[in-house]
Amino acid sequence: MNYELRTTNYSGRFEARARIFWIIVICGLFILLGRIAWLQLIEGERYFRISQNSRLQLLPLPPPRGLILDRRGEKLAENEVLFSVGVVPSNVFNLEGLLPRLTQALDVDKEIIKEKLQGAPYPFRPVFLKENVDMSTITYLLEREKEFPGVVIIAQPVRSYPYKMVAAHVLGHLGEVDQAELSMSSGLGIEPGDLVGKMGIEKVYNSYLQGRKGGRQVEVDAYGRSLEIISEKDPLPGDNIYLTIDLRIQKIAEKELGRRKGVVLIGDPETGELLALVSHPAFDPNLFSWGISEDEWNRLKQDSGNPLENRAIRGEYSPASTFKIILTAAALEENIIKKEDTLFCSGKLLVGRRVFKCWEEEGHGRLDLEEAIIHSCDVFFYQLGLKVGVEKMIQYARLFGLGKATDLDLIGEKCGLLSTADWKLKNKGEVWYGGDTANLSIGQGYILVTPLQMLRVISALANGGNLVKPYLVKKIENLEGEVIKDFSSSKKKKISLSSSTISFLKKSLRGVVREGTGWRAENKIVEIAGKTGTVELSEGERPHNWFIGYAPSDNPRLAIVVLVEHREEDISIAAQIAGRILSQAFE
Amino acid sequence: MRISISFRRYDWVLLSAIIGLSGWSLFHLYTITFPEETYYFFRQILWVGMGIGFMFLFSWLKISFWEKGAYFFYGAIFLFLLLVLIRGEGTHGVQRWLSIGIIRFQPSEFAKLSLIIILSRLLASGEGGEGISWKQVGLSFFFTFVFLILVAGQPDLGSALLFLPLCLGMLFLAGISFKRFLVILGIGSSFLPLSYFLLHPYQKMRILTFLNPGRDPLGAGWSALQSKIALGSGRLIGKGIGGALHTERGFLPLPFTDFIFASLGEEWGFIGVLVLLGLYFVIMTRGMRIARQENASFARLLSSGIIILLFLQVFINIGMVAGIMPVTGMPLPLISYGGSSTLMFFTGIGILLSIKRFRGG
Repeated sequence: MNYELRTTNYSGRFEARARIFWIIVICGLFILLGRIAWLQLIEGERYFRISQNSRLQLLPLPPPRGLILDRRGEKLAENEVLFSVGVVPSNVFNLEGLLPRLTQALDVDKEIIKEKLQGAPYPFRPVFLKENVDMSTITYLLEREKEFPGVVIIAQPVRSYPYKMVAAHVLGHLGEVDQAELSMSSGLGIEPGDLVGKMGIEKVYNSYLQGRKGGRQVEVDAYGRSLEIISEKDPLPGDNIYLTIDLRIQKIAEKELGRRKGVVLIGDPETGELLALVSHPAFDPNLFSWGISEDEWNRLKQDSGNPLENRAIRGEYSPASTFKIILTAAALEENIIKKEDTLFCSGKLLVGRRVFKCWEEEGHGRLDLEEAIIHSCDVFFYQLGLKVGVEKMIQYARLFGLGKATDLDLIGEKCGLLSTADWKLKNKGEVWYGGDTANLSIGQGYILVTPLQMLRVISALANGGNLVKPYLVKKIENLEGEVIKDFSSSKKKKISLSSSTISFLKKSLRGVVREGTGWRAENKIVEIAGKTGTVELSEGERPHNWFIGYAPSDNPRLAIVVLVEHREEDISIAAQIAGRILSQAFE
Repeated sequence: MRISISFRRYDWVLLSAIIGLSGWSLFHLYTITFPEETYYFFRQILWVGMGIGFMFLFSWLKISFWEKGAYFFYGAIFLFLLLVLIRGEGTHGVQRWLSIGIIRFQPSEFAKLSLIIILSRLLASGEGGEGISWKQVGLSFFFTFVFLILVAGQPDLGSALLFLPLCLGMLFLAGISFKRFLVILGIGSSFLPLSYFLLHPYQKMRILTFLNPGRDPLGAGWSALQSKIALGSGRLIGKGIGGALHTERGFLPLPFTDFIFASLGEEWGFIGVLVLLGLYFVIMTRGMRIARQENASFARLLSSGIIILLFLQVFINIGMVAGIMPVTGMPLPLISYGGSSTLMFFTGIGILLSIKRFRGG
């Protein structure tokens, strides 16, 4: 009886506990049910959408960017495949084992890899460890796939400039599109993060080169692999641009300028086509193609040589003695001097209270106009300049296209400076002295020109008095090879110069190279005509050195401008460089 | 004649629920593994087949087999767990499996059942008018913590921490006085913050992520977020058979094991979830019925212990998928892919069936 009671008691207690437990179970199940009802019934539509969106992705198909070719069809900018190595974080199970092998294969610091993996936004998407990995490393990784679990190789199209620094300032470079460019290019399908031309031809003709993006709606898995294409629109490749640049001549010019800072410009004097544009120091546009590192960018930006600056169109220099061509033209055209008139050079000339020296301290003695040009006599031209006067000199300088941009198809061209008495009063608060005129007569003082402007000056002389508009793009072709834009009908403007003035100047310029200051340009292959110039800078600074000329002298086919900044040699190095370039060009 | 009586004593409702659940689980596994990963499906067929064999085998065993063998089983599992730590195998830097010959299993799964058995014996043998003594409480926690530490060392914190509520639940059903129960809870909760410092960084991360899912939505929170998306996107009627695309396309980690419920909810919708929870409810109801009708303490505690375990795993696993529990590696009973878990639960159900069959009278 007693036993019976105890058992019942005991069972009763279990019964009570079981009931409490059961309540907990029911509550638990209802909590789950409630939560799931919330997720599926109330938030269900939202999660359904999210799940659809994460599976369907619109992958933009980047169009192949148009090629940039030289006048003969040599590729200067093309598209290449760049291999990068990445890691899918979720597929790496033994990081410590993988790390040393990865650091060895990729030459990337262990800690950097670790950091990148830990900061990975998607565990199932690859994290880039190293971009632009060379083929031998890629082959190494592919052959040892088993030893590198989770490591993936990613191929990306990338802009490539096979000749690296060659013609860098013409080609320009790419960069990520900025806000201003985005708003300007609405409707072109350019999106944040896209690469667009930032400089040079890449920028100016970006709308041709860019092409049209295609798109592909794909179903993807969590690894980002596409499983099925739902719809697709093909990208439209960009147009190909044929430059006027001649790669062969461009390379010769770069080689001959060497490591000197300066400019070489070679153009067709008849048409204005530029066959070579060298501005040194230059940069390697490939650096920008896959996103330049901050270090590299800062190095380029802060480099005292300004490698990003295109000196050919943005460098402003005194024309120095090359200006004597314009002064001579003005004097002859205005009948201020006759060809046979002579003037005396004693080595110096007193203008007002200042003594102006000739570069030849001994003096040239008595010379006529042709001899003055050949020997570049300063005292002769001081006197001539004072006779012609500042207004006339400036008027003729304008006729030759100085003082305004040439409208070359590059961005950022400078205008140089032509100053008159009014300008000096306004800007310097001083009246114009006779000394200023004397200074201007030898292209010093208040006058600045760009090398491209000087190419125009010498071309006008070479072609018999036509001011040509320099240009860099010969034609633009679409994918099918149809010419969609042809630039070869060049614009010309006649300068009103008498043919006798022109032939006199041409004869004199030939004399400069044959027996005068430009003798270092003389060579056995081609007869060059031209004019040297030495830009005197402030005390202690090495002078800049000019040579502007053309060849062959009797039937000019190439015009050339060489400018060497702060020449290191005490000779007319620019003339020497021009001679070497032209003799090779005509070989 | 004798055989027919034996079969009539089976709990056919329980049995049907189990078979229904397993059949559904296999079917679902087939739809989400087809066509590339049907390997898992065929393996699971093998496990379920073996499990059903185990279930019927153990349903013919007398309950005294477990009572007498309780300490032996505990000792054997203890050795296996030690072996796992010494020479275990596993992926993701954790060791959970043990290979003996061609058999490869997870001792931590069987540790759960073994702990229920030894606690049932311990708490049943000491049953007296005055309830559970401190000595019994102490021994219970000793047995629990030995397993807990061994399993946590694998490290499998999810399974390890499961031992604690399991032990508490059994103490509670064994009739420990409320006063003592509250003292245990009090001591336990004061140790809770301390234990945080013993966790692995990834475990801390998971807990922090659980407390604040926005903390790291694409890192540690990835599985938590993706499982909610998969489950929620099923809506009322689901995406249909074979339509669990979010799961199949790899957005969900471990879609066959720990997160299988998400794909189930994605494919079958809320209606499917209701049916699934209904099946679990039936199994638990029948299990508790068996326990309540039983007079012998050991059998009663053993059967209710199995139900506690079932409930805990269902709650933790589904709670994890639904984002109300932290992410821990815990299979969904009788649904998730996995041999050890499947065999262990079928064994448990076999024990329940045998208790019903051998009841006196």
